[in-house]
Amino acid sequence: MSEKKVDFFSEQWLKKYQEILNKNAAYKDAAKDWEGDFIFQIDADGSTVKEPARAYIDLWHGDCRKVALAAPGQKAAFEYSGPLKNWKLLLAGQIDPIKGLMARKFTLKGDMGKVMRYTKAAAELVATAVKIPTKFPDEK
Amino acid sequence: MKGYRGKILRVDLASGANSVTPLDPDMARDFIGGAGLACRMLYDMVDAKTDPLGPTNPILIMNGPFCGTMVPCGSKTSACSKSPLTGLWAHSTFGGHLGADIKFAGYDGIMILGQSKKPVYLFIDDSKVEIRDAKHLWGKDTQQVWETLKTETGFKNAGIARIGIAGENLVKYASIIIDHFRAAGRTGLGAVMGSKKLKAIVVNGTDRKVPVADEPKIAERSRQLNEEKKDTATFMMYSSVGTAGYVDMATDMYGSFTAGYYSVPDFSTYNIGGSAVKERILVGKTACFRCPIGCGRVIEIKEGKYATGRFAGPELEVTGTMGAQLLNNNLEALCYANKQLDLLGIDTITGGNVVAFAYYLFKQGKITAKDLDGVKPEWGEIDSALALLHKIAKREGVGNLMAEGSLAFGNKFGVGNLAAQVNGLELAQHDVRGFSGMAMTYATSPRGACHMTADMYNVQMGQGDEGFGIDSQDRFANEADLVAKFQDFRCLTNSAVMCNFYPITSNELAELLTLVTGWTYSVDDLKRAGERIFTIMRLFNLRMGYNPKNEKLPDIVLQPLKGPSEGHVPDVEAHLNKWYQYRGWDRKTGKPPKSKIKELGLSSLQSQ
Repeated sequence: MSEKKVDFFSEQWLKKYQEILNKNAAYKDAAKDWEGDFIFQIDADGSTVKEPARAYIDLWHGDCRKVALAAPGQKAAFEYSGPLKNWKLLLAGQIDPIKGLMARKFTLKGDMGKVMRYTKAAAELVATAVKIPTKFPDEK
Repeated sequence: MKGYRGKILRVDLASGANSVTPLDPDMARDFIGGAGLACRMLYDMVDAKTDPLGPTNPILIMNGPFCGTMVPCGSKTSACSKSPLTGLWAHSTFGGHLGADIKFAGYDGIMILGQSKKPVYLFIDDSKVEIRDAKHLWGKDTQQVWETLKTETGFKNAGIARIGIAGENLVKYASIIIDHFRAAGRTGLGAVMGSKKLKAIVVNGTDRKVPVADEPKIAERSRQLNEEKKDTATFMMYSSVGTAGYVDMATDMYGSFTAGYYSVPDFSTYNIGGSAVKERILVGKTACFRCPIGCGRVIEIKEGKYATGRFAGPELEVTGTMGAQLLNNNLEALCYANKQLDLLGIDTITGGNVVAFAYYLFKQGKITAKDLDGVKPEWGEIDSALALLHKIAKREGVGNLMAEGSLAFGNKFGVGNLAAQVNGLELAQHDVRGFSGMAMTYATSPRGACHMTADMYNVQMGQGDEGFGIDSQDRFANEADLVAKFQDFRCLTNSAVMCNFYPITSNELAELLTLVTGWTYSVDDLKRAGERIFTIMRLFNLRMGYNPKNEKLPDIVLQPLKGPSEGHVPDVEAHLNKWYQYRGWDRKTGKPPKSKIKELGLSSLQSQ
């Protein structure tokens, strides 16, 4: 029996994400020195996504300390954003988070050099998200 | 002419004469500038019999229409000639501000002919051109020469190109060092300068008003472009952590860098990449003329065995050759080796590859310490590499053989087939197993296994170009047609001459060329120009005796690797077939058909 899908970037989705990420040994190892919080954003597209959808994730030394829906204007050390279609590609494993940046499918605000240092951790962040049965905003 | 000065300075070192010849506007429009225009000009001047280190091989330093203007990252310049390493086409693009100084002095290029009997340097102060004695500079390293010439000429901000002792001793992969340790590294152009007894070129240009078609729009568009590009990943990465910032990502995510040619592929680059440099030893940054990125690093290691003082930091390729290829993860040792390569004037890619090859052959038992004059290399240590590099620069003992390149070195011991090279030029550090497009980049590049004539690792990470129809779907797939398209695109940036690190699109390039020159360029015009330039480079090489049978990769890079490259190995024959089919060239002879040559307006060359 397949698991029930959870709305992308809902509180329930974020809690699930935190739970799985904190059990991910590969992430813990790759991010053991990482210090810095993220805002992930689905950009508004004027139709399916009327307002940007934003999630706050606090990452510290291999742990995910906090997740929450992020308010407009809320700041974090890093902001990774892109349109819904590219988030779907990312979670489908069709692009990786770094290639997403290189291909300009996503944008990053923050210290690019620091992110380059943690590419394995970035890959594990995505690998964790892939494990959640996700219902995207354009799905009924 | 807009964007050009319309003048080429010709200097004959044999007679001491100099003259100015006009630049043909039609030729400029068709071949743009830089490597493309230089290839068209040199095509008529050299042939298969020309000795690359003889008096009849010119060296031509060409800038492009953007040079000295507001166009961002458009002031790079090409040094061009017939390569002493490959016997084929040679161009090497360099940064700094020398190119802009040449433009400000009133020239689109400097062509140097003949050979001097004694060491000289070329001094250019606008229209004043002098060949000056360089006896006091001969035998000096590239930093000593730079400092001496700034003081001696009184022009502290002059653009200065110089060679080290490797160039003096005709090491076939000697580099030319430019300004703050930028380099025309590849294909041995430092040896061509050395063969002419030309130690340096000093250029002071004062007319900074380069004529352009629409200056206000260029200024406005340049500002817009910088604003748009500054948040792109490559711009941010090169600015934040330099070119070597790519190391961590490419190693961890793609298994493409650094290449596992001679050593184990799962070596950790964590301690030697651009981020490590930033965290530990970075004290400043440098930028080329009109560059908003500033990828140049300034580092300082104050003490210890590998103290460098304040010096240019390691860029991407040397992090591979002096770091990962030797299994050296000592950042200080890497920086010290990088400095030695720059001071001696040795190409960091070929020089590093030759040394790594010696390590490999020794560890495999194919050569002995006696073959290496008593040097006993061990993976992870760099002192053997330093000893060998100094021998190479002086052509001392085994260094005399190693100075000929890895193919000649390997052939001496019956293992030339193991050398990581194509057409005599050593592979850059981007592994074909991580990004399959690099297979055709290396196999079919006009200058041997170079990465700058089609950096397919960027394309296969998603940096395509809509106007040119370049859109990679799979980094392991046969995308040889995309390689051909991207080679044409890079012919344009290498002719414009624009930095490959600036993420320009073909639409933007067409717009900028139009605004600068006043000639109307469409994307279709650019496609034709790019193909024309790539084709003339092939015609040049065929004239030199190019053999398409050499379009193959060494077996050593065709064994599957574990890790992020997932065991993929490109099928070189299949890629070549697709590449030739796309180009419409003859697979056996390597020749473009007459119809194509005519279509590109190159028929006059075929009759020669």
